Amino acid sequence: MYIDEGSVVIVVDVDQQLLAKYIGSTWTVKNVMTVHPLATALIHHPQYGDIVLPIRCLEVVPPADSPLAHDEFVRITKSYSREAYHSCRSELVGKTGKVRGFDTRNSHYFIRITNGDSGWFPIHCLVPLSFKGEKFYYPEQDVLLDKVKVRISKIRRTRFGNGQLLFINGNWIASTEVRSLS
Amino acid sequence: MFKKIASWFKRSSDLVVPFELPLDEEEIFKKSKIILQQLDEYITASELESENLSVQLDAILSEQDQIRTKLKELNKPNSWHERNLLLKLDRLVLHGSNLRQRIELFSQNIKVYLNLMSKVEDIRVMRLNGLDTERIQNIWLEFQHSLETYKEKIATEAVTETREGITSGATEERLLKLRQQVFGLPETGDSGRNQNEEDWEKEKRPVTPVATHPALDVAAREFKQLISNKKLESSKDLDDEFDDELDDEPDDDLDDEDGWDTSVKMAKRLEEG
Repeated sequence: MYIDEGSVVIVVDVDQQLLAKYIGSTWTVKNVMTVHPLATALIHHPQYGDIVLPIRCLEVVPPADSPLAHDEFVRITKSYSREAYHSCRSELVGKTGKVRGFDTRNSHYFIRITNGDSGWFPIHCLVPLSFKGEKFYYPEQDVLLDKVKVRISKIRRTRFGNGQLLFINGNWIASTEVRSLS
Repeated sequence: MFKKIASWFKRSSDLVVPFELPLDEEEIFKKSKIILQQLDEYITASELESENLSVQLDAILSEQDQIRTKLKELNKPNSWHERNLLLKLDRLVLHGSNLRQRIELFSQNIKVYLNLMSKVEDIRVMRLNGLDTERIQNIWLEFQHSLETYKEKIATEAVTETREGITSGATEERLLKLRQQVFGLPETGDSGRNQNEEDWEKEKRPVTPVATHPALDVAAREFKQLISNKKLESSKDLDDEFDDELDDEPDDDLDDEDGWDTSVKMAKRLEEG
């Protein structure tokens, strides 16, 4: 798993019994040591200070402006996305899992299914289960706004999960104002 | 560019409720999902916009402070440079007040949307529970009436261009209380004004002399004299005591009777006077 400096991580496992009390707490990555046979990260907490843990014990939290949050339930809708040019595990399509990690390089989410199976997926292959709106729009998708074809740059969930805001041509537009091309 | 400005005007003109509200309760139930989605999106968009405006307002306020400092340091009275800075400050103050007004409007709109959302959800729940349709219709009509009143209020304030109506005194007090709670500041009381303002007013208030009586003046003078005498006596007594201690002689009693008699006399005089 790739971890960037400055990322927010959650401790999910520990290599020493003394550190067990930190499981579930949120930390910030100060440094990553990948040259070591066991890749480790130096993480910081404002209350507990700094500790070093193997990367496998950490889960990266998606950034605040990300459409999906950590530990959120999602449904995998497809295994291939034209927008992300990435193919994923097709046997997981149609299943429901939780967001358990994030890759800052390509904005892919690590999804763990309830039976323990897991895989990396871009946002275009996922739909959050808490979304109550009619249609979920994705970044880089083409839509019609006032009968003009435009491209969505970013997406943002609304406060109560009923809809979406789409960043089009430098403005946040409500998803009810656009029409899908498909 | 013109198209963008036109669309902005269209949006800002119908800022209160940006879409047609169905009049019938039946229609609301049918369209409830899309209405809720629209309202939710407008709430989030308004919050985002309000946040951006707040950042802009902060930048403007800091710029105003910088100009004020510059003006103080410039020390060139009636110069063109000073005039230019003053004009810039004036423009910034106007811009700041406009932004502040818009932020308050957004805040009010968010409240209206939230209220509307809760009403729509109420109607949905009531319909699902199988409640009387007349009762549901009444609730909807009541809400529409309150919304109309609010719209009228906004329109009147837009005409008069006053800020007091949008942010009433009660809101200001509530915000002040919230601020005090957040920062743990001491409460300034119901007036909701700054302590500095009150101090300044106290300083500004003229000091009125207290009315006195001639008999009181005499009594006060005598009392002062008595205290000074007493001090002298006590110092003498202390010296005596010190000498007595050295000579191993018994102590002389401090005579308070004289002082007591004087104070009784003074009280009597006051009564007479």
